[in-house]
Amino acid sequence: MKYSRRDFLKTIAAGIGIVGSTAIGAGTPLKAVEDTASDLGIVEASLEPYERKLAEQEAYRARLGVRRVERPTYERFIEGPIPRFDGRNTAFIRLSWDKEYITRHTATFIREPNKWDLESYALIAGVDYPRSFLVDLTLPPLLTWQPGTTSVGGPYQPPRIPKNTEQMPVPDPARMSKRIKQVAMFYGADLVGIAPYDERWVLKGVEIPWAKYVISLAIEMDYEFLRIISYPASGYPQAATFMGYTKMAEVAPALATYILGIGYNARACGNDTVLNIPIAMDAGLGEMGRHNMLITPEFGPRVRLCSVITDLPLQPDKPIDFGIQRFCELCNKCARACPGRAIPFGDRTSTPPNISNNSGLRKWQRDAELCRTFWRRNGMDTLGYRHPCQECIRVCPWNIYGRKNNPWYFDLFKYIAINGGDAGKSFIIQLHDFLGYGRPFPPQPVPP
Amino acid sequence: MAKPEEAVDKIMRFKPVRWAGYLAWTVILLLLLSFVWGNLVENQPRAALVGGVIFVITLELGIGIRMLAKFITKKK
Repeated sequence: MKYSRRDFLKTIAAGIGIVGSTAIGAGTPLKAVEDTASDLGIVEASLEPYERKLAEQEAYRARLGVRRVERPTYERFIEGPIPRFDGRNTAFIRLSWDKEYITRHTATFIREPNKWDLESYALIAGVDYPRSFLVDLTLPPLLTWQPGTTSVGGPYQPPRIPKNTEQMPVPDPARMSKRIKQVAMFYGADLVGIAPYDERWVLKGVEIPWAKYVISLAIEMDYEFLRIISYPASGYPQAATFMGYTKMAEVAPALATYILGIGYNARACGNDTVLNIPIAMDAGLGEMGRHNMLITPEFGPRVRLCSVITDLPLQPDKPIDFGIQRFCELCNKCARACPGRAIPFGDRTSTPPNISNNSGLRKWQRDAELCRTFWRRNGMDTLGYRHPCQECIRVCPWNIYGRKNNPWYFDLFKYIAINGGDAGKSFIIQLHDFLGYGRPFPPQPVPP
Repeated sequence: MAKPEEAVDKIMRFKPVRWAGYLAWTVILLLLLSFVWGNLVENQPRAALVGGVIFVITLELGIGIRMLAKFITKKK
């Protein structure tokens, strides 16, 4: 084949053309990336899916008829000053110091270790491996802040980075609040709300002088595992709870460290330091039900809660009211199902059954002693895992109505429960039984 | 005052009303079907069964009403 001088020149010209156009093409996006990186455009764009998720959640609540209110619903039941709760008085911690309670507790019959349900041990053990590390390392141990008490928890390690000396300016707290919620969702939170810091909900003995706001985070627990009955001892519901703890030990410390990184104080809390339920109510995540758990419009009571205390300038959210107070007055399903008889029927009372309950508030006083004692009665498995009970979550109508990827009829049921008055609420409660939604799955006999 | 069969005949002859009826009936049936299917997928056998029974009743009721209307108008 003859290759002329003309062809040679053509090849050179084509080569220059290709190289030139590639250089121009490659140069343009590079410059654009630099520009956007300088004004945090990349972060903004990357967090957009979470922005969309937040907007969808807000629209979903509006569609259901969830109302934003000025004051949280518990305020109508406050009767006097609410003393700060002493963390030593939780039923768990009392088993380390309250001799009288320990005697009563240990006198309870304990079921023989369970040998038949091999897979439930495996499931719990699998989840417990990361959970034990994460919770012990990333969340502050209980009671270390109280002089003269034994710490309950593992070798806690504070965040690896100290508070940044360079501070990100926050000209618009509303925008910052949005950003914090997006970041929390990126870390794995399912619901995020912001409440003003209220000392009443901080455990006795804890002083955080810089605290201004609390970011309340909710993590959804698996629905299917919580459908399995908790007794006779089965580890499946507990595996769902442990997964919740594992996620909570990721999300709250990660968010606290992010806030430290942008130059503000932050402290992650699990079940230590603060009372998460009233904080979550203040932050507009949900309302407290008869079973003394937070009920959210999205997931019902099937959430684990954690918080981040901070001084970052934020805009607090308003509490919500979606009729749970009246719903629980009419329902009573958790009280009927409670195998430990710890959840009361009837009206709210002011007198706490024992020191594990707070005073100053008229509420359904769940007896923490009876609840914890039932756990003991429910036994433990051969690996030594206790079998707590989640029956109150399982039978709550809001448990099933608050499903991920909700089908239209659950949204309709929720709408009727929220907006239908007493008749609508009663109808939905009866419907829950009629359609068999409170039944365990796979079908198991419910012990008497 | 018009007799009942005349009223039924009038309604049956008025196409928009007739088609609106069919449409509403179809939508209700589809919603019920989705309720049954959703509950079957989610392992809620009792709810699926209840939905199925309501579906059959609605289906039969619709066919019954249609047949009754035809019967009344034919009688005339």
